[in-house]
Amino acid sequence: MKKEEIEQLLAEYVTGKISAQNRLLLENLLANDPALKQEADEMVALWQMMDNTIVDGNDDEQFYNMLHISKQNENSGKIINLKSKAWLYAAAAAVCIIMFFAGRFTAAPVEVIKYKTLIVKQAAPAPLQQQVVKIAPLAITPKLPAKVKPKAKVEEPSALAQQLRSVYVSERIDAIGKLSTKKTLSKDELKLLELALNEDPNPNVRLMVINSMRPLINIDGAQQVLISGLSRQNNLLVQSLLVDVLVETKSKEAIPQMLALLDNKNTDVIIQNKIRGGIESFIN
Amino acid sequence: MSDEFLMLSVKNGDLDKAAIIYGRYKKKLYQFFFHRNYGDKEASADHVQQVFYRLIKYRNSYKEEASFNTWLYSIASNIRYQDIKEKQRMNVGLTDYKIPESYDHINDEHQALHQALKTLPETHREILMMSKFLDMKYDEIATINGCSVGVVKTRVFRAMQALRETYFKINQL
Repeated sequence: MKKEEIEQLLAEYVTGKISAQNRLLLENLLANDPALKQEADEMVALWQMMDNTIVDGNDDEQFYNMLHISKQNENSGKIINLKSKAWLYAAAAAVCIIMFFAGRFTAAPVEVIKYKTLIVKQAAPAPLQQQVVKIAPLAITPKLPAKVKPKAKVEEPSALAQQLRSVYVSERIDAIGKLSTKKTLSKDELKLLELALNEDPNPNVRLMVINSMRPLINIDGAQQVLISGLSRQNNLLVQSLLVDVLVETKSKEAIPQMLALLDNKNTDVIIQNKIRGGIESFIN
Repeated sequence: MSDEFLMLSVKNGDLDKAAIIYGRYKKKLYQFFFHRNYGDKEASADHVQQVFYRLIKYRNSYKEEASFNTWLYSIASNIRYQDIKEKQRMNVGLTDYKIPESYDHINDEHQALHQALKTLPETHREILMMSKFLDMKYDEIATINGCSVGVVKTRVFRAMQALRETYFKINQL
């Protein structure tokens, strides 16, 4: 066994922190070495002597007084736990609330601006009345007195025409619906539909016009109405439906307009494809 | 009841358990400080009171898994370190800090042992005090000193060997 190992065993032995196995090992060593045994025994005696070298000079009363005071503080702390952070938060919240209300009552009054939203129900505007004034050609009637003027003939617009000029989309659609129920259409009615197809700002109305004209496409002038609207549509859906109807009816009169659309770079690809398909069907 | 259990009870508000700890450690701590304070009886007693004052005051800092002896040693060494700094601030040298023969020894043998302890190197004496009076295990001492357990054991042995030689020399005078 090395010297260092023996020293470490002796340290454990002297301080009383030796295991049973090491104790047995060391006692065998000590039995064979009386000088080492004497040294170990003297060290153990000195170690034990250290326990009683000094008279205890502690003041127990001082400790118990301190303990008593600590217990009192502990008990008072239990009633209101000042160390707890919750009290700090509660105090801070209370101060904020007090300052808020104090500020409200002491601050200068601020002018309160109230905003209200008013909804005004405006009466529907009266439909625009288009007055067509037809002036009769001046007849050379030198004999007539100068004061006599030819009377202007004023045509009153029909109820449907008035309805088509309504500001409400529903009324305009209703008017077109009424037209679609008819078996035949007069020239004036076709003009009204053409006007609606080309000028109405609402695409739904224009779609309604096209749909209403589908069963009446064979009427004289109906195809022209649709063809006239082909180049004026800016809505893809309306333009698409228009092409569909014209292709369905195989309207050859529409081919120049369709070709013009095909050449136009602004025309949508979908429309262009439909036109190509339509023209091919015409050829075949 | 183990020291750790008692300390946890103190931590949880049962301050009466501190009296049991005091009963177990008051003499050991007194001796620890006595040998570290060059035999100053009043300073040692004062330091013991400070240890228990801090033990109660900072009880919440005690961790369940920590060794009680190690924690107690950290308090004791802090107190001693602060005391040394205070003395230095007041321009009192460590040599002046000695108060010779102000302690009460039971007999001449004990006085000789105390004299022999004073001659030990600081590191050896510290380890001896930690093992003897604070009942610290070798691995705890090794952790605090940043060395291996083997080194601690060797130092204990060397310290005891030197103590024995000095003690017999003093007795022969």
